[in-house]
Amino acid sequence: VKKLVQLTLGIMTALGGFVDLGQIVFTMQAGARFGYALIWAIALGAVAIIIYMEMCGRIAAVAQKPVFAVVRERLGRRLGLATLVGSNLLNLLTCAAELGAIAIVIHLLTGLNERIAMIAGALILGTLIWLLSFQWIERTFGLAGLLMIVFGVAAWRLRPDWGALAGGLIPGLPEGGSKAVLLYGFFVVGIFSALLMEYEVHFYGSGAIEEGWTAKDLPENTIVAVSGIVLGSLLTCALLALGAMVFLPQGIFPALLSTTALPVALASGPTVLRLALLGILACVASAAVETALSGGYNVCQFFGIKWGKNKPPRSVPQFTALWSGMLALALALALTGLKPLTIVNFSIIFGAVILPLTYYPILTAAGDRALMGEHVTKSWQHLLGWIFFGIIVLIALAALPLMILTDGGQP
Amino acid sequence: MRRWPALALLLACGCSGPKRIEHDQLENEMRRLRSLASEVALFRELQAQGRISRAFAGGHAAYLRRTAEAEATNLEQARPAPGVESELGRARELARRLVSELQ
Repeated sequence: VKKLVQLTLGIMTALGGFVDLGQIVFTMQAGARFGYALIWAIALGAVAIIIYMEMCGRIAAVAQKPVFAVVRERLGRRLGLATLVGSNLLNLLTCAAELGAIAIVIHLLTGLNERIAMIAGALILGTLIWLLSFQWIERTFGLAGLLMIVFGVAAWRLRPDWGALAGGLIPGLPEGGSKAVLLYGFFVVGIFSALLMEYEVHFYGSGAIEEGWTAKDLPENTIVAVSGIVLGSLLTCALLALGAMVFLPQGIFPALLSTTALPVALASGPTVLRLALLGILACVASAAVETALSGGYNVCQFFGIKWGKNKPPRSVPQFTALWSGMLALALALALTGLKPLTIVNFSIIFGAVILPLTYYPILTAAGDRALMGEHVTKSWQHLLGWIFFGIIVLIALAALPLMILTDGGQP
Repeated sequence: MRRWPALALLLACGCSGPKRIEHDQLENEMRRLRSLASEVALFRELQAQGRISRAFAGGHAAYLRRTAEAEATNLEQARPAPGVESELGRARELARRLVSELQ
């Protein structure tokens, strides 16, 4: 029974922690512009992240190696260092965007001044990270993130066109000439990148080590990775459907975070709207915590410095300084007044560019029999991993040109 | 060497002058403004139906107003390319109307 409770908790946590600011905004914008036509990009991205997250957890459980130890081994010191710098820059940008989003949501919930809300939010998050163990950090934010289910309920109540939604699983080109095709490409890249954001695997792999996983935990790793991501992807599909049902017919392109909550108000009312805002708050707070911690994890794992959230903060001083420094820097960046959606837009595209440098080492390490022994990646899984790696490389190559050609995804 | 100050002056003049707006850019501006106008209408409707909390209404209205004001300022400062004067006029009018509606 205890195992079953743990498993359920793991799945719920994975579901609650799956969605972040980038996903909320990108998928709703995609629905508002292209209707259900990009459901296939969510499905494809979900399969990709399931495959790589499972590999990441397996490497951690069997070889006891977190992602950045693998990156250094597989890419060498120089390219590994470049990956570390790129990943942590991305963590910093994402964390700043999420802190900005926290301020907006608190302002929408309480009317509190945004700057005060941002500083208070960052201080509360820092205190929670300091005080709570890894498991409790994961559970607190993951379970609070389950409030996002109200978006799924709202989509259900507004009665989507199920036929059109299922039709969205088949990729196709949009009408409207080359500009529409470029924008469609930009949203494919954005959705795929938002689903595969690097910090998710950094955090997942580090968490597996924090929780002391061994080869015995591999079935749990598979179940949590598959179920959590499948359910999280359904939630992402609901966000896209809301964009398609509420915004597309009225010609609205949601360019503000607050706009993304309007469909819930339309489907329900003020109380459920508050729940939706609390759900968004939990998701963006969770992402802020994960990116801040990932910043610390990555550096320590790369340079072989002692790390661990479950160790007393004073026994891992560099790790503690790194995650708290990341949070403080992100706060400083967010306080400059940069719009969270502008930062997240940039970080998703920049994240797409460096995706191959994180996923290649995971793919090769998980498929290395000398490292993984009997738990080496199965051949069909390895083949799928390489196919998705090809897609990741294409996405990385297309990201910047599409960003320039579409003026950052302007409709 | 004498050419550099002249070039710098030319660049400064070019950068500090009003931004010239072409037909395509104006179409994008109009699309953004129509989107904003539709959102304002949806927001007002939800507000009238009592589906929005007070804090959310105040916050979202302020974000919409800031967006409309930024669009209006951009359009007021823009210099029309030949042939788009009346289009720019219509866009400015729509932006001004949105700003005043959100006051």
